[in-house]
Amino acid sequence: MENIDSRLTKALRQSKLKMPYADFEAQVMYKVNKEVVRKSILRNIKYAFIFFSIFLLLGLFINSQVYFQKITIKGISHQLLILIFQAVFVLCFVMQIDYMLGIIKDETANIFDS
Amino acid sequence: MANSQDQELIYLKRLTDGDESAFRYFIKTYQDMAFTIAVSIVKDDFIAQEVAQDAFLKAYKGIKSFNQQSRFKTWFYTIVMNESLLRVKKLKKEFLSFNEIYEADIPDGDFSNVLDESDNVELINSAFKLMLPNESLVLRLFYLEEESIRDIHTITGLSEANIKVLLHRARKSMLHIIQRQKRVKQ
Repeated sequence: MENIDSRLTKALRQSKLKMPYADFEAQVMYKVNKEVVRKSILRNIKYAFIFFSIFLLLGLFINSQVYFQKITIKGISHQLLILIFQAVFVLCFVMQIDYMLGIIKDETANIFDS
Repeated sequence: MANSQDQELIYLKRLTDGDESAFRYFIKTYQDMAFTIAVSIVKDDFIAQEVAQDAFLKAYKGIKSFNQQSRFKTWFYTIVMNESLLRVKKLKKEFLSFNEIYEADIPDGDFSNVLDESDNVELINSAFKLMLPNESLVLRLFYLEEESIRDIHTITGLSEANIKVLLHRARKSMLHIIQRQKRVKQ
């Protein structure tokens, strides 16, 4: 039986399959690199959402404080301050939304491309 | 052997530290066996190549979950096998199975006559394609990779008793297919 097993092992070793596609390694590495890019984009999206949420809450907090505490800075009335804060807030909000839509679009393109 | 395992640990460390180029080592080392395992199950070269690619990518993504208590190859072969089974399920491909009754009493000694021929490689490879997926997989892991029954159990999830039975049936099945192919050739 041992003899037969060794014959079978020998015969099967001879018939060991080789990867017939020469570019296999390159293709896998291409996919791996895409995965690295994808991970970094996902990380960016995560951080973008975290900071977006933090500054959204902060902006709302500042706006409400200026409104309720009737804060004035260097003689600027609180109504004007609210207006300035709201303008800055909306500008930042729109820019951030635009940035996040951009990276989400990149990520979607990346997924469909692979 | 210990040397290659040490080398493997070095590359694993590099990989978990974020050096993705270290993954080339694993591709070079295991691509042939990944392809062999995938072919055993999916029975098609091109699909097997795709499955092997998916398995490597899955291994790369999950490398941090590899606890290094088992060998890398045991862990990786499990991924290849699962990916192959998943692909088969996906494609709902009908295998060209060897369904003849091969339990006929063929003395094991007959192998020696069959395996001395020069056209072994071609015959064996075509026999592998005709065998049932689990039989060809177990046979390849046991004889090609010299995996222990315990390791095959870890990779396939089959019981050790079941593996022994499968090995016995696979040997007989292969012998029967080779003999039949020879008869057809003559």
